[in-house]
Amino acid sequence: MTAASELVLDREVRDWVLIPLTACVMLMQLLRQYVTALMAGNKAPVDPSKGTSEVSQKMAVARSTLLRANGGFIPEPGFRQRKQYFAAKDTGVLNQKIEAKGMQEMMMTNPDFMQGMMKQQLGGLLPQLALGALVNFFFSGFILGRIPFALSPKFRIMLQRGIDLPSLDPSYFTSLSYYILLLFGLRGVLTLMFREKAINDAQQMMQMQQSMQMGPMGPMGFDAQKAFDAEQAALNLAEHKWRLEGSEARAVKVLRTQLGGK
Amino acid sequence: MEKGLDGSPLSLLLPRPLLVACPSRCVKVRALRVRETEGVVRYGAELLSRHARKVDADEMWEVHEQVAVAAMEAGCKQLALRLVQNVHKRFPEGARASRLTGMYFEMMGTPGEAEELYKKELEKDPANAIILKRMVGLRRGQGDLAGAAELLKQYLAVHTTDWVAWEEAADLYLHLQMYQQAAFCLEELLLHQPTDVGRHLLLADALYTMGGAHNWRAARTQYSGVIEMTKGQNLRALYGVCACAAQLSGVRRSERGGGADVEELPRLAAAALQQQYAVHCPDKLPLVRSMLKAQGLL
Repeated sequence: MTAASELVLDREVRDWVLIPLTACVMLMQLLRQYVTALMAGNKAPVDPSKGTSEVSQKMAVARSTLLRANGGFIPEPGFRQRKQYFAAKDTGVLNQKIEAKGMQEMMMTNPDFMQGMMKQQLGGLLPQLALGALVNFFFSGFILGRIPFALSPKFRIMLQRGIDLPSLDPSYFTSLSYYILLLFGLRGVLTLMFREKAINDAQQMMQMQQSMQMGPMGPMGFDAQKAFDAEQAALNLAEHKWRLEGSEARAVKVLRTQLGGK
Repeated sequence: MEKGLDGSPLSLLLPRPLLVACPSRCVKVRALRVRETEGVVRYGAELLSRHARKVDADEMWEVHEQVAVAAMEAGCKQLALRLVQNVHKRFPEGARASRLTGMYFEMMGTPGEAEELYKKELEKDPANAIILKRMVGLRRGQGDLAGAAELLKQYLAVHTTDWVAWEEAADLYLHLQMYQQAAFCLEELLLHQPTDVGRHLLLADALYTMGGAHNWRAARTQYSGVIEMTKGQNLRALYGVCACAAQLSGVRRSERGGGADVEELPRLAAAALQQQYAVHCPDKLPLVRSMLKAQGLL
């Protein structure tokens, strides 16, 4: 690298771009932190009756699975009684019709759900947009500094956002690139300053993507009807064979060897 | 200076490395769900009074809860009061704190206040599992076993896989002498832990107590299963087999069930019993022999 290609940066750039930009991003992160905490704080409690029914449905499936797995250890009448309880023609627990709750209905019946989602998304998105616009307006087009090693021209897109100078050495970075770096790299710094968990943009984004892929129901949707049907079919096939059947004969053998051995 | 259980300063009792091990010990006890009251009280109190800064904030309150419960169990009222007050100051609302406070009231013999607290908590969330369970404990502590059983039944209708609750229910029903229900709960426990010998024995006892030829037969099979599992070392199972045989001897042969093996089993069990007593406790052998004679097995 020749000396001629070195740029001299104005000191004003440091005072009026580098420091304010850093402060801006940091303060915005702080603000977001508190706003999310505030919003999470006054989240309304979930409707308990719905929670209970879902819990009991899940538990019923788990218990029926257990019955299939370990049913051999309990006497015949007990097994039959339980099987009846789960899989009887009309009254069995697993035979009950569960009104399917569509997404639409869930939103209608539980406005909290929608509100919560919107709050969350807005809380993440809005400040980001505002900050992006702000930075774009005030701080675009400055070269802030130079990284201390040479880079190939391919890095120009990454480091030199906002200015279009093909002749400039790619190791100079601009204010816009610096802003993006701060946006994603500040979390570690924030966790140092706070005992509580700082909000994690990358994690949030990942979650959002996952929930997109999983479909709108996501992991919270427990499809009771499907689980019940499968469990009932399996339970109907389960035969009871008491493992202790004929244990008298085996006990006699055990006792005989014990008495004979001594 | 903080005093230990026996009045001596704790720092003299504990070597340095043990003090460092305190937090991890508490964590371990919690994770393994062992009941180690005394150790938890002793080390936990020391940990909270002097080394609180080393524990991080979330963990700290869990340790508080753990030590407070252990202190109540051990009867250290002062320590329990202090910890409960701490927790209450930090979390004035919340079910877990209410549970702890309620437990303190229960210990101090004012279950009325505890019940009021729980009721308030249940108004907020009628499906709160820990408070519902606490209510059962409260009723039981007041001696109202039937009420406790009723509450527990409601709880189990929703939380059907909570085996600790099933265990408590089995115990309650046994106390209430409702053996049919107790047997049901014990069967449920066996579904969760099929190889627990103690449960098998309890179920056999319940079946035996209910009476009737088919129950005695089932009990006999259950006892034989235990003999098989323990290689004939379990005295209670041996006694059980003898008792079942004695009951069944008054029943028609066709209802007794089983073949030649079954006929031979009680005699063998009686012999095994005598052998065990002869080895481990010769003084009581005559008592056993007279009992066996009364059962017609000697």
